[in-house]
Amino acid sequence: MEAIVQQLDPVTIQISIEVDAETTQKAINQAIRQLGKTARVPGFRPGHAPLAQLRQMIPNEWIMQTAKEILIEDTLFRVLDSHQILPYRMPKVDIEQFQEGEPFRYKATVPLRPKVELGEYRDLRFPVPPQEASEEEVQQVLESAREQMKRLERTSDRPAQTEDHVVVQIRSLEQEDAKPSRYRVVLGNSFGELDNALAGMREEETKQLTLNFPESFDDPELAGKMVNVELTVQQIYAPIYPEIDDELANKYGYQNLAQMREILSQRIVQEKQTRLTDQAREAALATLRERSNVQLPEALIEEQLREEIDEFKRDLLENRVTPEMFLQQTGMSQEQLIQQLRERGITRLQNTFILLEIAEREGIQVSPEEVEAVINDMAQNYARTPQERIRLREDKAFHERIANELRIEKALQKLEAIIQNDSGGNPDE
Amino acid sequence: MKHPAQVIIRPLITEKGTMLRFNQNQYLFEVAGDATKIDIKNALKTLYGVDVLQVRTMWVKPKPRRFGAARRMGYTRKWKKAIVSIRPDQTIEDFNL
Repeated sequence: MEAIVQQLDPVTIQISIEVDAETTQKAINQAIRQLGKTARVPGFRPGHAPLAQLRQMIPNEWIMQTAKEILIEDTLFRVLDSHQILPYRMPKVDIEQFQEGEPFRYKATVPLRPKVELGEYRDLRFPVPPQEASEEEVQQVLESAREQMKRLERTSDRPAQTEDHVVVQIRSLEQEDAKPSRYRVVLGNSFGELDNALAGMREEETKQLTLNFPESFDDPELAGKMVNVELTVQQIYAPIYPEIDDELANKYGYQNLAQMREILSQRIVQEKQTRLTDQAREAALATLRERSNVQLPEALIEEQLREEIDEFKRDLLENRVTPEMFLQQTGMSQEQLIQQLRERGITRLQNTFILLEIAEREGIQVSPEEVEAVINDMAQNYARTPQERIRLREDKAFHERIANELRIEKALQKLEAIIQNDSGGNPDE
Repeated sequence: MKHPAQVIIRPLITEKGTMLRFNQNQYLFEVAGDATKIDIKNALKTLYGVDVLQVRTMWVKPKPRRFGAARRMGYTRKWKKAIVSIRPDQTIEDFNL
């Protein structure tokens, strides 16, 4: 076996391996034997048929696939071991030559752990000043609360005006026997021409005019057409808004209006605070990304891209949009979208590894008990069967992942503490 | 005289036969029921060009078999098996798949 190890970039290694023909043949025979353990050949007990017979019985692709796996397992990992290369993800293998009686040649691209040159982060300051809720903001929320509690009342003694709900009968005059249909229209919310026509009409009043129906109109017969119609207003309902007073507060579950205002203003402050803190954190990470140099292996980026695409599809699905519809609506090409998701993925990976590096520098530790607690919690809440619960508790890789996530979370908290510290000094001092 | 292909019906490739082939250079065949040992010897000479040292034959007895859901009983067919010893320096290609 010959192996050439090449450093493609700081986080990627390429290994070219050539296995001689004899070893290749041995691996092929081994593959046949392995596959033949369970093969039923007439005239032989399972596992007892000679190679030549098995060779005929087992599809060639299976044999070659298994032989390939045997060879790679055998050679690639030996090279990785002897060069003390620690792959961060499964190496990607490109076969260059694989035929019986010929040497087996392949290239393996091995992604290494991302390298982070962390920029200075202890002097980052994005303080969020204490927030207040203004009188207008509270009032706005109260108004919308009032809006939600409005009720409709039949109003026969005045003409229709904006915000009224009007039941109107529309009959097309284009055809003699066209059936009239009834619509419920909120004045000011349908299309302009109809709104204008209805405003000022009284109940039982009738009007003939030409309307230009928009494409989005409910009735497909009328949508997108210029139609001569007859409108008859049948009923008018006026919205009645409740007063902003203790009674309204009661309906929302508060004791009185003063308490409602108090709680609403607290909530507004909290929302603002959260939003600004999120923004500050984003800004800090963005600066840190610029100051740092994070090198990511391509394999990791691709893996992340797949996750981003999945996530994106899930999001669309929740909104009942297909990816095709999304592309059509935004006028984006598929390549552009993938490029965008790729960039988002890279940003996320960079954040992750920057935060892990910070955790490292700050000596942030995650104790096994903390991991245990999270996993127990998950086992309680998400595992459906006892077996699943046991698997969750025993899966070492899963423990490692949770520990990493906790570490990132703690690093993020640390970073937040640093950027919120407006005294300018080291927050530890 | 029968045509050689009518005498030798098929080579038998089985676990037991493979052992015999490697250890004693003996080959197994299904042969016609009316084939004699001489017939077999001559047929193999024509078909494969090998020199036969010894032919042993036997009838493989029919085995009871159940057919279908109605559990009708029946038997498998009887057939004639030949164990043929070949000169040690010769082989029969059909077996080396």
